[in-house]
Amino acid sequence: MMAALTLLEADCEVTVMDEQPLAGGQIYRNAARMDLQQAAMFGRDYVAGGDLVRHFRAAVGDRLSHERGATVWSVTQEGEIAWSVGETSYSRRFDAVILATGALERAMPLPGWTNPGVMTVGAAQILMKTARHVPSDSVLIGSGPLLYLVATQMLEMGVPPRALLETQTGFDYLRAATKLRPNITVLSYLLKGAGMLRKLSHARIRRHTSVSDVRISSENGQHRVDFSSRGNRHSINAGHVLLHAGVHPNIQFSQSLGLDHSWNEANQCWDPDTDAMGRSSKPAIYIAGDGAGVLGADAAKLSGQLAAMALLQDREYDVDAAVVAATLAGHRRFRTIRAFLDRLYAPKAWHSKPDDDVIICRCEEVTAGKVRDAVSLGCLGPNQLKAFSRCGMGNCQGRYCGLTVVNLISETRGLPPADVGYYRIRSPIKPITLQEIANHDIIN
Amino acid sequence: MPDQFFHFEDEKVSFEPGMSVAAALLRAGIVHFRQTQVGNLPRGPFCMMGACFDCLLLIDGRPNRQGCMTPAAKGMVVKRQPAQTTLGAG
Repeated sequence: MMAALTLLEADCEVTVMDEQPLAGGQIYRNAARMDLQQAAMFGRDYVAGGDLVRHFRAAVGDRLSHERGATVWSVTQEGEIAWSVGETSYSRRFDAVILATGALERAMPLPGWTNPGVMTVGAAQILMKTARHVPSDSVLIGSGPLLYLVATQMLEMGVPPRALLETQTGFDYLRAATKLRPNITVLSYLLKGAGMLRKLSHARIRRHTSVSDVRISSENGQHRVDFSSRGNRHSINAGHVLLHAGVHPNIQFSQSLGLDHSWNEANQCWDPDTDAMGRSSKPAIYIAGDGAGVLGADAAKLSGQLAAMALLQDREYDVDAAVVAATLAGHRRFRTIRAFLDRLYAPKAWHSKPDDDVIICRCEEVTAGKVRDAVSLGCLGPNQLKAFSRCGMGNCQGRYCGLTVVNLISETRGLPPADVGYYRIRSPIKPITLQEIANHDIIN
Repeated sequence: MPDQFFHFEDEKVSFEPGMSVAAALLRAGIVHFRQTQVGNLPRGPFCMMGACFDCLLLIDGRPNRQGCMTPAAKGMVVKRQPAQTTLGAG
């Protein structure tokens, strides 16, 4: 939205391809549609997001079009984009593209994570935002700011969670503290965090830390969660189980375009290589927001502006250097808090390299043991693993197993993840029927 | 705004305009959307944002529809997706 608005100001013709039916992405989902009282339950940032969405919608017109419910399934370096609306596909040419594909929640493979009623914390929040429905008696497992945010939003909506099982340890707090370089952005994040923890403690929400070795068993729509915390084994019943192990960039398009990526050791994921403005390794392709490296929604607004300004610079438009410098400085401040969060909520080996019996590829139902077996039989990397096991070849196209596969191959072969590589991603990026591809309309 | 309904198996499921099929089903307490193709095990929504493909349903006779990406509509006939489905037009 910010990138589109910046380009529109420079009088460019812009099309926003939006997979969702309403503007706002995942963070400001439904924000412009809710009345103020409902929106307030999701916090001040969400209310402000509603204003941004309304501002964007008001700008839609002759030069800015907003394709809603448009699932893009191909973007090529030659400047062609193809997308599906309903069950009809279209394609057209473009001069430049800004990828704003956001983040995915990191998979947290553990016994029972594929059972119905076990979802991501983000999924629960989408349900709360779009259907005003809070999954009852939820046990939230994992770590990261979203865990606390959604737990406090559940409190606001009158359906408190049953417990938070947090994976970070006391040692993580100490190590993270060394990453802190206070600035205004860092302070506002820490205050927000402290406020959320205070609300949870007032509401007497049960919290366990240093949680590991989680096992979920489900029967008749009820779940039992067995886990270790500080050396003791515990068991808790749940109506719903919600998992969250942080987020990582959604790199399906950046990978399919053959852009350069680097392993981000701090956030344990692949980030596309970009300069500070969001220029990718190939001309006329820019990346904005969490898809370029996770920094959060507030940073994404600035990176949207930066990517648009980079595009304008490259096309020799007049871009105010002072505005660029100020936006860059604002954006940079988010890196400090991210270093702290990455360290504090770093993924744990017990779920990033799970036991042999745990399913890691949800689509093809491939276990961690099968991946380790394939490697011991001579499988060298993620792409060969497809031939050995079909891992990563299902509907989600590796979105939820890719990083686990990198970790498992790295562990078994004794190689750093950076040398393991990643799945080669090819179009169609989302499954569509051959009939739809064959019949697609080419727009001039 | 009064709720509208679609059909899921033998039940009537209410929804408000703008809700996805998956959101309406979850609100009604239904979490079991399909059987998996390999292990024939029950599965339900996981990501709710169109990325995981775990919420696949049979909607108006068409297989492999993403419940979380399909807006609920009045009179829709939604069914649990069995392990074996045929591709293409239903």
